[in-house]
Amino acid sequence: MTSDLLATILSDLVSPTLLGLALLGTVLGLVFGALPGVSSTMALAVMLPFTYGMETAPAMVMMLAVFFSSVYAGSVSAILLNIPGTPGAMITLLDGHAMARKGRAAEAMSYALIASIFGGVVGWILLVLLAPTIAHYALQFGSPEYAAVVLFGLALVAYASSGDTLRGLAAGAMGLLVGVVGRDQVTDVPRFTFGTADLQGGIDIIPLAIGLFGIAEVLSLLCRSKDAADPVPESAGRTWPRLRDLVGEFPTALRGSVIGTFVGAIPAAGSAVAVALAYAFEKRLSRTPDDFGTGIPRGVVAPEAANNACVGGALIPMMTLGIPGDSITAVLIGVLLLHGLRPGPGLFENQPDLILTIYGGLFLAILLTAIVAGAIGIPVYRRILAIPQRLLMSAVLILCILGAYSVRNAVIDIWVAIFFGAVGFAFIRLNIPVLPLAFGAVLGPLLEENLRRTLLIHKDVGVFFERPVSLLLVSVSLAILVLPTVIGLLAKLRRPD
Amino acid sequence: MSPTPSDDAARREVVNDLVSGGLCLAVSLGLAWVHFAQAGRLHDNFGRDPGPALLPQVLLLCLGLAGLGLSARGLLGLRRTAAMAAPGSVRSLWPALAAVLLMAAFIPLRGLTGAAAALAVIGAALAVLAGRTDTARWPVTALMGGAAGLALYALFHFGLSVPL
Repeated sequence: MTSDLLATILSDLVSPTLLGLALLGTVLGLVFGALPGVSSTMALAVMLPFTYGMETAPAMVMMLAVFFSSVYAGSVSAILLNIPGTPGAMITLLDGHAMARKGRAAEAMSYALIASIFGGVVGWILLVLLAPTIAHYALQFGSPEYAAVVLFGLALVAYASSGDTLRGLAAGAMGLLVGVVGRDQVTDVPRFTFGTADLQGGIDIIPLAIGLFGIAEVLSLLCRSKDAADPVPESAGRTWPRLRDLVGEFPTALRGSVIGTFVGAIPAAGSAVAVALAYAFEKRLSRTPDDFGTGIPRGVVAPEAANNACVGGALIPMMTLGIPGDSITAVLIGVLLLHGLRPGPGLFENQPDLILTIYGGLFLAILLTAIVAGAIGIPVYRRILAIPQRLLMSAVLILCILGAYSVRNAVIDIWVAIFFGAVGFAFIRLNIPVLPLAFGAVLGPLLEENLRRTLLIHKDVGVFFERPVSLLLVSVSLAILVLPTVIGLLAKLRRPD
Repeated sequence: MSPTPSDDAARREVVNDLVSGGLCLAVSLGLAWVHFAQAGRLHDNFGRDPGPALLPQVLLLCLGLAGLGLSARGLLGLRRTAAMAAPGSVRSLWPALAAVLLMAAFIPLRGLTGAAAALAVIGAALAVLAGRTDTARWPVTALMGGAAGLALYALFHFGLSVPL
């Protein structure tokens, strides 16, 4: 197996066709991923028609390169512009953009790249070694466990976001309400559509994220007085971190990578939950948790390692069970189906060469992302900061309009982005964390689907406390939300004054 | 004794709690009214399925409770903190409002002049708005903002085949 894999990687490296397609995919992924509103899914969807005339192996190698590099590049707009390109980059902006504001944008992008590559390699190793076993355990998850995973993710985000937990919970509830807008998937009954046809399909997450993070940030900058203005300065600092600083982040990267791979392997949990979990975990372990969100490398390394480790993790259920881990792997399944192949256990028996090519292709994508982004990407991205603020703000707002529109070519998405831009701006002014709202909107449909399925099958919410995994997740979620308040109250009572 | 900056910060958080709490209560009550007034099958009995009304009702309740909690905390904080020395002014928000209106103007302008011209005009206006305190001359800023709008139009329309 190992020798076959090494031989495949080497043959991929020396094959001009595969190498060329992987390089093309990497460059396109780095460009698409860095554009706000152009998610990894959209990048893959745009490239899908180009694979029609290709053999399966070159098509998969190119698509994997787009996949991996665009997931990393999502952090670029999060760091530079405070706009996450993908849901997986939502956490990165907390410390990444804060680092950029301190004049350490290039360093933040380097940390993100190194963590992404590290996470990608760990995810790849675990994919190759543990694919069948992890997939087996992921398949054991029922609807109570999925619903509990969503609650757990939201609790982590409410706790880990800046501001306080009560405001975070209120924002999370608003986000979950946004997630239920549109026609109900089961009964086709409209909810909160206000009689308009445009909202029947629900609110797309990308325009919402563009508004909450991109537009709101620029509106906030516009309202600062000249003296108080603190925009992203052109990075005068170093591009690459010092070796000893990098070594210090190794345990964080490793923990983030393992979390990312395992959460990525849970179908539909996705990178959004993985990055929140990795970030909250590091914050919990830290001796200085208050530093998170102020612009520390650890706040970039943990979510980025988890985000890119999710790539390997998401491929596990896709390849072994035929279940897409997220919308991106759903497109990859589409590539296999286009070529007459059905992913699942049969793929391992009938197409062992293709499995090795996929493993080799992902490794090639990681390698090329490291080389291209490191040598060309970061220096090019860095030049964005040399653009005068007035032009950058104007361009970002136009980019937000175009990015929102291009998701579905629908005018309603522009309105959604503008509306949530205003909401995000109000949240910033009121010191309410924005992230739980976005996460709630992402996870709302997943929560509802699994909550209803649980109640339909088990008829009782008590089932959450009867199954060990859901019991553990619900208990930890409650502890995360309640313990800090209880500890704070106890500390106040103990004070003599 | 006049309030110190840290007193002001504490008072601002109290005001934020009150406004956030009021906002949560208003949103939960408003949406509850929309939800319960909706005719049709939303509130039907769907047999064993808990139905499409369950989660919205739970969430509206949670949001309302969070609003009550924030309001109560804000009201308690009012007693403990002194009034701010320099309260914030709503007038300082005009650039954000202007930017929102300019972005919203894209949709009608696109119908009138086409997307390229609309983006050029809006790009120019937004650049002038963002550079209002800069020393750069505004016609130059407007020209560069317009050019940026056109460049982004070209990228999305021709590069990504987005039908603008």
